[in-house]
Amino acid sequence: MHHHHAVSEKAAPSLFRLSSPPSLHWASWGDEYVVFDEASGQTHLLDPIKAYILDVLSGGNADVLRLTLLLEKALSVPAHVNSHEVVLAALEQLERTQLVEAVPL
Amino acid sequence: MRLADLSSTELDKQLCGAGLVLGVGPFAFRIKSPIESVHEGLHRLYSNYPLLRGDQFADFDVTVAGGRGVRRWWRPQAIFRFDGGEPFLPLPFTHAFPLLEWAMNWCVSMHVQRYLLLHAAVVEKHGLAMILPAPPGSGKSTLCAGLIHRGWRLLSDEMALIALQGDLVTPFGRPVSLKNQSIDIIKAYAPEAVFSPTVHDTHKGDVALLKVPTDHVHRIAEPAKPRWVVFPKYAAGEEACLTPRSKAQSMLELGRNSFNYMVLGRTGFVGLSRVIDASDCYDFRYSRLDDAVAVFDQMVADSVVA
Amino acid sequence: MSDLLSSVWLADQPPVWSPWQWESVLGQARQSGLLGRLGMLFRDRAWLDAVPAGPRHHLESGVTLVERQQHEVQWEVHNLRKALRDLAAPVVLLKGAAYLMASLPPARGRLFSDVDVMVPYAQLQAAEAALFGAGWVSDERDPYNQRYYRQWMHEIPPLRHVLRGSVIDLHHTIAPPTSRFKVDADRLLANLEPLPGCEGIYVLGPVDMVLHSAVHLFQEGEFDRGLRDLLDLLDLIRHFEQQDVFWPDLVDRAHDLGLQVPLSHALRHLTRLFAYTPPVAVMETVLSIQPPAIQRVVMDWALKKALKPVHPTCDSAGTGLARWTLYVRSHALRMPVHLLLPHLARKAWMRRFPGAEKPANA
Repeated sequence: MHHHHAVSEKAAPSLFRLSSPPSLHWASWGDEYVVFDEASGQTHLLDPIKAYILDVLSGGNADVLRLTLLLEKALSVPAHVNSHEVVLAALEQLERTQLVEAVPL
Repeated sequence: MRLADLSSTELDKQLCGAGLVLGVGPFAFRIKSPIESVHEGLHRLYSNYPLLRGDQFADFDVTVAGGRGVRRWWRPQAIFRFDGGEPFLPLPFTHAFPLLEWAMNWCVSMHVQRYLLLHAAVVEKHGLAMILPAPPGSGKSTLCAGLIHRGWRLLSDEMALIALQGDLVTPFGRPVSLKNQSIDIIKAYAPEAVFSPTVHDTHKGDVALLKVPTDHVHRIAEPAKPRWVVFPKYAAGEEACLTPRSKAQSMLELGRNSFNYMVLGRTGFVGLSRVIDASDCYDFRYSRLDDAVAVFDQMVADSVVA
Repeated sequence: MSDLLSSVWLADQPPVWSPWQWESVLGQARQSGLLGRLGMLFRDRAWLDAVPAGPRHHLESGVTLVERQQHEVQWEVHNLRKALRDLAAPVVLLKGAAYLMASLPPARGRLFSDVDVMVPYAQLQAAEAALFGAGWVSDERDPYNQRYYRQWMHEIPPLRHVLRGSVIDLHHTIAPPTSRFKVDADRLLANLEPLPGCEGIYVLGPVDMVLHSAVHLFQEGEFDRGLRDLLDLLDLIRHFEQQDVFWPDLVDRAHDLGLQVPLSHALRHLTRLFAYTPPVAVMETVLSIQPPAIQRVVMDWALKKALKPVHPTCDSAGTGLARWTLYVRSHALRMPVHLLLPHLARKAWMRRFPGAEKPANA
């Protein structure tokens, strides 16, 4: 059975990190970001939210709560937006592209 | 020395012997073939290309030979040989010259890592290069063939060579491959153009090769800086329409249309981002060649003024 | 013109070749899968600057390609490790992937396609299931072939990753079960070396690695890779024999596992092609493992012909059956591209070409 470390919306805030030792290279134009992951050899197109999260994680591991708070401040997320959900969704996509992974407990 | 300087006998001798060493942009091909249509094709379409001496280094040794045994005369074949192997299945004998062209493309796309190779045409005016990536069937070659007869220099029809240091596009111009109706369209658009005989029933339909204007061949060592990346789409009956396009998405699309972006890793990423840095990116829909020329000429004019 | 390639590996001076000779050498190298290795040899010895620009670009391109491949294999091993994290058994890398991850000399310049992995027979199904869960799916879709592989050959067909296209060959022993040399995998599993920084992943012990290389060389039909595999073996032996205990251990182990014949053949060819001989003290023991004379002569003749690079400039007159067999095999249209992990643009390009052969493992 395929086990995906599902980004849980429940209790324990999982800790996240970059999948591989720092090996990311960036290019950006306006609010578009392209990142090259040297470890996997893959190139990804990222929106500002995913780019920001990746950038934060490049500086060290962080949990969902911290990422949410930082994101709200940095990108002036409007009040009606559930930034927690946004972060979870972004992390899920970043996991799927193997850019980040949940830190195993 | 140019190919035209060889007598027919001498051309035959080299092709049937140690090989004719043809310089095409940054590469040299040692071409061997006993086939008449290949001799003819080279004579007609490559007359102004430089030749190297037989004992100089050639990057690729390509042989286009006839079939073996019964396939010499029964449903005769043309076969491409390289390094003692046969990368393609045999083709009908009448396809021998297009086969040589495809073989040359294959050699470069498979073995060259000192450039970032994009599947795209490149043309240039006033020192500004326009990269035209497009999947097969998008009209890129017809567009390219038209442009080069209206003042645009051909850098390449199939394969853009991007230098890994800096971002210059290195010319690798060869005869432009045209199919089906495009052949007649370009014959009408550029009556002075020289074509190979049309080869029928290839997997792409009717194919003919268009000779590169002499001046372009003489300038083949002159690179150009990229200025635009334009994704063309031929759409019958449509007015010309140029729309700006996301740079980031264009970068990814170019990467997908590259022969060796993945192989080059970070070097490829850096090279491609430099191209995108330097270029405005567009989608372009059109139906008439004249419209395309007008739009592109205007882009040059705007750029030169700016 | 003859085979130029075999002589370069033990040279102390950079070879001086004419442009024609360079064309020939590069062609031979490409055909034998040795271009990267040749390029790395020149780079390591600082000989590249002396090479004229034309050939030098090809050497450098060869290096770029293998470096990329090695990078991709490291990523595959990373993913493999994640997928098999919960397996209650050691996961053993074999051949190219092992040389690479253990930083052994044969890895320098090696081009390879599949990642070969061995697990204990008892864990084979669990391993396959775990790999499936992580995206590696059996390449063989024909149910009859599947059964053939599993029931009759006791092997698992290659597993291909659904997204990346990378291939894992999952084994439970090192010689194909159909081979006349049957190796007891448990003996190998008792002699593993861990990989530092790569918990759960192992490689074979030194003498087993050498014996595996020798057995593999003489099992596979791929004689156009013969030169490359022999070079691997040469590199392994020269690396490991720095330990005094190596040679006695190797001969003992060969007896132990019933692999005297392949080892003996391999050593003879190392001598013949590269003028390499085992240390004098060991020679007697080595001679003791020679197979009967007639067998030796036939095998030698076939292999000697087969081990040269397959390139028109290497063909000698009167090559006979061995070369013909080899020629036919090399005509299985082995394109370099199949050695690379595929990607979309390349596939699209391949479809454009008239009747371009599909990669061998597609």
